[in-house]
Amino acid sequence: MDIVFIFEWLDASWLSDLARTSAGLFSMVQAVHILSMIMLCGMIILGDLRMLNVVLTGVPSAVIIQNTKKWIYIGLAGIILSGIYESSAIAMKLATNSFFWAKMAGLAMGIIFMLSVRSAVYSRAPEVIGSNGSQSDPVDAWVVKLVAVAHLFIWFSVAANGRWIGFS
Amino acid sequence: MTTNTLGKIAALCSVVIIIGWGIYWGVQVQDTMCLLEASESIDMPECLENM
Repeated sequence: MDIVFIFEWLDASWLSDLARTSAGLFSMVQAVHILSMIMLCGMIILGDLRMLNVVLTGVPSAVIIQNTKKWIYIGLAGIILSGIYESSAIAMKLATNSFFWAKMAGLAMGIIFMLSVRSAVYSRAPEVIGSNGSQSDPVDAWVVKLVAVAHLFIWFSVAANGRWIGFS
Repeated sequence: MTTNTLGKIAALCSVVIIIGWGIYWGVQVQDTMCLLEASESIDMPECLENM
């Protein structure tokens, strides 16, 4: 499916004109993009490292996962909205950039994996990891840790490919 | 979905992601090393032909 027309439309839009002509606004939005990414990845790293029994082991994992959820969604909204604005300035360049597509693939994969597998597995974490009280039918501890590692790998790729766009 | 099925699906997805991640970044690092080599040498390195 050819989706270059979306980039052509974005390139010709008023948003693109604004991004190209307002250097001050662009730099502020870029800062929002980076801060949103920091918040998103920070919350994700906190939850996943808790599941790997590395940080905050005295706090029940359910408390950490529940409390970081809202900030993950805020971070996601921030990176997507600021990302659309940023990409409008160089839309046609991004359409053929392999790192951009790798980042988008990682972002889609990260969101799907987080909302489906990660969420389901973490809610059934065994007591040895979760400190949530005894679960009637918990998932094996090694599965929880494997999911945490895979999830961290996905978001590492999103961040690294995002940075790599700037080098290419 | 039973916990047993969830565990199997989660483990399979995670293993596929981790292996895919290793292959992807392995190729990226290899390509980067090749480009670095190309930038430092006068002759075109062989690895550039395979990129």
